[in-house]
Amino acid sequence: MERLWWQNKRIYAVTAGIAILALLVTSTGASTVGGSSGAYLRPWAGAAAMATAGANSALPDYLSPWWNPAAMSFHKGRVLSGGVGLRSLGRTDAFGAFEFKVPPRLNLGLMLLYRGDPFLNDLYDENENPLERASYTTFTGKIAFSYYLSRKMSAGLGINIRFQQLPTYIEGSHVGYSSCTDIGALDLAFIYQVSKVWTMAAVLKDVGASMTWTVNLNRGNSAQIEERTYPSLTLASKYQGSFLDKPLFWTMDMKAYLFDGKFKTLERPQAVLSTGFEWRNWEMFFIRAGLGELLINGDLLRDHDNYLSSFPFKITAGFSLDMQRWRNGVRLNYGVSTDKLWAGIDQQIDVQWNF
Amino acid sequence: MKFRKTRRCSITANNLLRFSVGIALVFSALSVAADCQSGKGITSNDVIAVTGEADTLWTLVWEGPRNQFAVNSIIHGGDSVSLNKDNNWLSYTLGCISSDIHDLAYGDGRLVLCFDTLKFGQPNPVLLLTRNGNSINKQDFSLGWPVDSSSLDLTAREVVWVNNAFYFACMDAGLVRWDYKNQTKSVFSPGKSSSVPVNEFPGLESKPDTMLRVIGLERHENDVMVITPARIWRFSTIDSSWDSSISSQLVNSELNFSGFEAVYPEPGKDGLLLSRIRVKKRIAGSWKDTLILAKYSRTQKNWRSILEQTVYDVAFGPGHYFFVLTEKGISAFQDSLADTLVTRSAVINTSVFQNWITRNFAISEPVLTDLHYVGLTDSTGYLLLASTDGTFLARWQYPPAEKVTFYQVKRAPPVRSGLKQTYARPGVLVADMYDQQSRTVFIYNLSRDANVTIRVYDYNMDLVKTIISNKFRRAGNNGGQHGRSTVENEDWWDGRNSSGKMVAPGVYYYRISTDIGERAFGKIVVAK
Repeated sequence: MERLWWQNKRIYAVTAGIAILALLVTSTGASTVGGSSGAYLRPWAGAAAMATAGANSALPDYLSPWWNPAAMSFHKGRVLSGGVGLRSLGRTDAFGAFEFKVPPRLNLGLMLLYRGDPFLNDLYDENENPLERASYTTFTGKIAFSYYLSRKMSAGLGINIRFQQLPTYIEGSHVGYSSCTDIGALDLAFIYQVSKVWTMAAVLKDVGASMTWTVNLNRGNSAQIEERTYPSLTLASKYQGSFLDKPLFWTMDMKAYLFDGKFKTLERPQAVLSTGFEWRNWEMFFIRAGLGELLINGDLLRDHDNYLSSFPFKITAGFSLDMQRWRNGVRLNYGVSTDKLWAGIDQQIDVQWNF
Repeated sequence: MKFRKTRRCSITANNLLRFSVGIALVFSALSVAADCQSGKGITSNDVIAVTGEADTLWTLVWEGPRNQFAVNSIIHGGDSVSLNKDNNWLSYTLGCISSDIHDLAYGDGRLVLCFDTLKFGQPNPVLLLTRNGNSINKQDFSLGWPVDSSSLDLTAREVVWVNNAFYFACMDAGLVRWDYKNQTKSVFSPGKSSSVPVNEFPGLESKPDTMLRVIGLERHENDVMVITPARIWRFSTIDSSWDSSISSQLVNSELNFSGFEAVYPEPGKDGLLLSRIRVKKRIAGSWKDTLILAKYSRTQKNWRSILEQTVYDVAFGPGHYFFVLTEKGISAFQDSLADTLVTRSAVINTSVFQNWITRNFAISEPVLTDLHYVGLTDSTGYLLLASTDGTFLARWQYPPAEKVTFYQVKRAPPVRSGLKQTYARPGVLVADMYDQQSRTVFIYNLSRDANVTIRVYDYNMDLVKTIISNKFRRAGNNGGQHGRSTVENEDWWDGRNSSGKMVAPGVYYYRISTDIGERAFGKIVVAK
């Protein structure tokens, strides 16, 4: 008789390993990641990821250039995907991605993500006069490669192109903009298939990401600001078990920030833990749910009152619907999530086409 | 002008005087406000004084969070619409002024502010501000007393503009005239027609008579009405002569005259003459100090009490109407010019005004600080009322309408309570070329008193900083600053995280939460 997923001892070994790593990360105090460069890169991209609380790095079904370039090696054929997302407080997402094979061992992926706030309203000037509506705009492009090392292993590389535009100066009620561009930051990924049902991955993102702003100020003045994004290390797992005799996928990501943009050890590292499920009770309709972005830092042990007073997490849910009646290989994905402030909900809807 | 000072540091003139003996030098220029800056708009609602003429209005405001004063000026277009447009106002921040501004006066395009004596170690520093197109220029100086005069009380208590010169009430020294065109400063002692230049003032050798201390003054046509403790003088700016014919006799038998404190002459020859007088009143067999507003009878040469309240200021309108600012509010009176008591007019009523202000601006009890009437024609004008919650304006005409409506000239708009309206001021936080410590203030208004937490988050909703945690805040209609719950010197963010490091450029979010269930969210753009 096949063992149920919770009867597999390796699951507990992985969980224990992640927990130990988490405790190592947490031993030095409260986080300083909030407010650091590249905050707009941290929210999840795609509906499947949102539905499983961002635990999507081990072996994503689509949008691999974002989550894990190495995963493209395990996809059959080509994957075209696109979607839009509306998040709380006016944050908006839209993306398109295309992944394809270059035989015999190489896979290529391209993606472009828009993220920002197109309706940045309720801004006031120093005299409390309302300003014209402004917008915050970012574009992130990724060119990703994966190499099929063996039936169990693959490696991936992503090259980032980033653009940001912010309102920075005010003339009367008019708001002017400043922007910056960065090309060349790298994502590195590695996948190891422990068994037929268990995949593990490590993804190092935003290595060498640096953006230099020339901020336009009033009266023709300007200022230079350089920001360096903290690279993140994600350890991820995807395990296929069963529940009520139907396939159940359990995914877990632990994303850690250990270094600053110059690869100096962070004085106060932090990690976030996300876990999600996908239950395939019906062939056409998959149910997803998760609990994400559980903050793990030193406050958990040392200042738990403060930690609990601002304890952030996200509850997520979603589904994936097979649209083969319309076209073979097309799936509609939907994800919904609370945000960490309880200011509203985040929603995302995507279409993926495997062909 | 006798405006009410509400939250100034109290450094007494005499203490500073004694402390600084030997330090004071003769300066022609002082750096009173090194970090001055000018800009558009009105910089604070905490209005201490308002002055000006039909062409230009000035308000003196207290910028609590930065612990400094500022002036706001507008070229008066004669309509309330232009007054209410923020961009029509110029502001000028005086920098960190740690002691009182005693008085201000406007004339011939110039505003003069006189500070507490020995501010910055100099006797009688004075700040002269002039409007130049879209900017305000300043010139700092002292009246230039000789060093050995500094042991006297030379405080410039009040200043007026008369006949192309500024006149200062300078306590022990007397009356000082500053003719800025000829750059002469002369000292006149009450009763003496001769004068001496300020820098030759004999100091203690002049053996000042305490009964001749000039404690206040007011303009009347081409004369200066000068107040000494026991007498009101009329100083002619034409021939520098003194007239002492105004008696000190009180007609009320139950009141004993103690001293004059202020004089309020109605514009025009033989107009009404009012004075705030300190008296002793017999109450239950004993004499107690009190203040009255009294009217002078030119025929009987005596004073008659018309109001037994602490009067802060009086302004005169056309038709022998006058407006009185007291500890209880504002009232309008009309005088018949006969030797009878004045009659209280119903056109401006304190309780109606208070109800109106409460209903419209959620301000329960604004502290009224100053009163000023600007005549536009012989029968029309504006009545300006300064308060700790902005300036209020009423169009006035003679004969008056049944009801006078006040408008508010105010930068900070009312904020809806219950956290239904919150924002950050400014919403775009960049490095200011004048102020590298630029910061944004969270503006909000609770429906009732509560403990408030404000936190800032980045785009991913990761916590950046806790601004305040469970701090008590008053509802705007229950004593909150400017009718809001914001405490401006605490509820601010300078763009740094909890470790003091500047955050990356981007959009940030804040959450204001309370223990009464009210909460709100907002956005801030940071690029500094």
